[in-house]
Amino acid sequence: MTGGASFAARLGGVIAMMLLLGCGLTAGLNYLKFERMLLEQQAKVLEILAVELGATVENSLALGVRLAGVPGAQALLERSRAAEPLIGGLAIADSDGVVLFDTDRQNLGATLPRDLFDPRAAAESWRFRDGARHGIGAPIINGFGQLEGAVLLRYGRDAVDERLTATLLGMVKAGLLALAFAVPLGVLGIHLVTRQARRWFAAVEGAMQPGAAAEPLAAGLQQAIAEADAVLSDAERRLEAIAATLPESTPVPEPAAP
Amino acid sequence: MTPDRRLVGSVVAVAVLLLTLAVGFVSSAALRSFETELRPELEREATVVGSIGAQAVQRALDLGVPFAGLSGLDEYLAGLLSTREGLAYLLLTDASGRVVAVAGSAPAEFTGLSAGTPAPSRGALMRVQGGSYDAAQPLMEEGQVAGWLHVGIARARLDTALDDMRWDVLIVLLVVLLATAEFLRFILSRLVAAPIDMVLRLQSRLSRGDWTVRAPGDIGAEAGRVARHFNVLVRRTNDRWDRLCWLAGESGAGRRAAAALDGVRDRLRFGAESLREGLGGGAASARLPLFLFVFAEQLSTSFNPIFAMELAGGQAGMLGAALPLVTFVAAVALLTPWGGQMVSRHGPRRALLMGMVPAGIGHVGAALAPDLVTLSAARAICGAGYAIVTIACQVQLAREASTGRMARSLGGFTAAVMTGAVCGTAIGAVLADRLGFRLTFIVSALLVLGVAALAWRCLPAGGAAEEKRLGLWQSARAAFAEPHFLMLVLLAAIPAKVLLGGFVFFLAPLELRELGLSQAAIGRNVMLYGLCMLPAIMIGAWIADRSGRGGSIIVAAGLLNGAGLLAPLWLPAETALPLAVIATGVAQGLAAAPMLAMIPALSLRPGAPSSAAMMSFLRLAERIGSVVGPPAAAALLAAGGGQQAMLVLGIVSAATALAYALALLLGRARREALA
Repeated sequence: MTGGASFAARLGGVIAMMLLLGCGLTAGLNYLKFERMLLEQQAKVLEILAVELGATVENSLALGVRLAGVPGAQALLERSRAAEPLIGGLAIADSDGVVLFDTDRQNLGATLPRDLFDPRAAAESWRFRDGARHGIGAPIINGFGQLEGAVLLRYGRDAVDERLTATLLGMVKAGLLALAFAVPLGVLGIHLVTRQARRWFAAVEGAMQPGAAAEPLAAGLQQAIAEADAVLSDAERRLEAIAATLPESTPVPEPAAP
Repeated sequence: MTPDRRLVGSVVAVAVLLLTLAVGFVSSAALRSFETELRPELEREATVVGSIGAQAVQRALDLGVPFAGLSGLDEYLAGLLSTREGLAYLLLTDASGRVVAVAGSAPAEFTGLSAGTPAPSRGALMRVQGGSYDAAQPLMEEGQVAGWLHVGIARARLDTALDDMRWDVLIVLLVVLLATAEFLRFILSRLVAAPIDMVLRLQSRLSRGDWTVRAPGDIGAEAGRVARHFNVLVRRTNDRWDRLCWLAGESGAGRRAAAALDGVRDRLRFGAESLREGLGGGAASARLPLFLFVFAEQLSTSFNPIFAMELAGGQAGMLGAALPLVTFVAAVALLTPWGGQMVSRHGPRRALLMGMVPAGIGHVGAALAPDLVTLSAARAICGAGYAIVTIACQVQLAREASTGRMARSLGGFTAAVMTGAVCGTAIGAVLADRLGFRLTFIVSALLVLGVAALAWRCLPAGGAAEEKRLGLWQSARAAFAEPHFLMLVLLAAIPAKVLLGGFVFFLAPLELRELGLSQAAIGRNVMLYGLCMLPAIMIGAWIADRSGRGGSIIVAAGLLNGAGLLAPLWLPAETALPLAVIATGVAQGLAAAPMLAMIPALSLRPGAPSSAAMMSFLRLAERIGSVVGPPAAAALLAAGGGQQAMLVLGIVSAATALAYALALLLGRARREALA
């Protein structure tokens, strides 16, 4: 606290900093909440689709067809992917994690990592991460209640990111606009409400200058200075008067009081 | 008149106005954007469900079943609705918009699509119907629209999220406002109030003819310039005096010159004192570090029992969940007298810096705790730090207030603790929601580090007590031999803290979680305690000063607290819990100042120890109450459930309040009889 900035400028700085903090916290917390809700909503819609695909396959199993031989399964996956732009890829794997059908045909016959294919989730759908992509698994249960396999739906968050970017830009714009008005107003407001204090400091500072004019705000200080000045001036006059009465010769010093 | 009287109020008013407007504007923009961007996703859900639901009906139509001949539609729609969460209704209309089958609760405003409405080329036709987003899926028969399947998604989900966000914004605003007020008060105190006070003291010394004084050179802003000018003035005047002395020596007229100098010496004193007129830290020098320290400590308040329960192993660890709270409060209680000794020995600044060490280590330990025992030990270490830091700040405030503002300054202690608690609890809940419990503890540790740096820079050194200390046991015996003090401790102070620790900090978070509230919502509810307590402290103090009936206020507060905790008898838990938190906050706030105000008067009675000693025993008793509260509430919770636990605590509060009233009446009657 030894710098040169005035206290009004420092107060303005604090208000500007707190405005930035307030706007930033508001925007940041809202953004995080929005991001979570949007991702959850997107996953919810895709989960409905994955579960519905699983149900369609289960209907075929009910007719006595084995999972690997469900007619039209590959076409069903490709149609579903084409119908929903959010879907990045669809696959059907058996209970050992071997891919039986996949919109990316290169994966056919591959074995899925265990963390993608969760055999514990036999009764309900589950979610997983596959690199940068998110995924949803929907179990395929046969008529005897046994886990036959699962539908695995992969999706990216590009669509969500677009919405999030739009929202973030909107909030940043609003925040900057708010700051653009509030910070100068804050500085002006502080300047106005600290006028009296600044005047007081200026008056005290001025009162201490040699030959300063009367400062009503620093009257007490000026009085103290004037009293000391008067005492010293009087003593100076007296000493000069004494010096003037002495002959102009080499003075013989008298013992002065200590 | 000095210009600092209304300055704090004016500056804070400017800050409040601007912050409210700016944060309000940003949050309003965020909420608008939120609704705009989320709506298409909700509509997409309705469309997907609609297209799945329409497939079966469309298949029947494609197989040649006429629309009018479809049967079992109500059952089909009901089955579909039951498998999809968040749907408000499913509704089938014919081509003219007449409802054929319905499941769920369609809004009263619902109107079917009129005849001739063309089918959309892809997806569904979106509308808003009442409080729902409606997706209408066409059903085709021989190329013509035969009917519509309407899927309604309730706006309630969106509205709940928006409400949640509004609360978050309000909390952010409140926290930023309170923190801003503390920072502004600190800067104004350092750069305006303290320098003005210093200038007035310097002026007073000059008026008495003392020109030996110097202003400190390490002040900033206008005060720094004033200090430099002052030192120049003093040096100039001293130079004049030196010149006079030289002149007297040169004049050769020793006696007459000496008489002139003596005339000056009689009225003025010159030279450079080794001691300079200090700037003084002001009350804010300890208040801001205290606020920030309590803020850091309270970040974990809303989730401490939940985190402990997780580490203890779910519901089985119900009693264990109270352990970290107990160890923390016990450490604070047991180490407060030791903290006081430390402050006396080393001075507030050094003691405060020393207290930051266990506080920081405790937070890091809690963040890394693998089990309940480690967490409890870490919280005990935090408690040790808390005991030292708070007593150091209290002593520093009392030290700064010694020139005649003791009550206001010590009131600032309570206000800073409460403000820190309100802000810390609220922000801690939000942080825990986003970052998790462990990272929130790390944030606390980092804040403690920052507070240590602030205290190191701003708190004035020194202040070690030089007076002789009395024996602890002697003071304790004398204090508890005073019946009024004993009654105050047993029937007011301890029950109040039992309720605070047991209900607000333990029972309420667990019960609110049982109601399905999010972590942020739990924090908001717990925060109500501090929000209500802050104004109640001022009101209680004002009434006590005006009426002189502190005892009656304490009794009324106990009864109010009891009534609040009995609220589950008449109200549903969703309403009763926040109401009980509010009642506890108001009651404890009302009683806080009258309780403290009684101590100086009691200490004047014959045989009673000093006011400070009695105050420390009162604090110790309060801590004991805080230690007893959580396990007592946990035992009650385990024995009969949350509602029964609240009822028992409420009855205890009311009964002790009535017993205290009786003790007051008996005491008064005895005094009157003696008189």
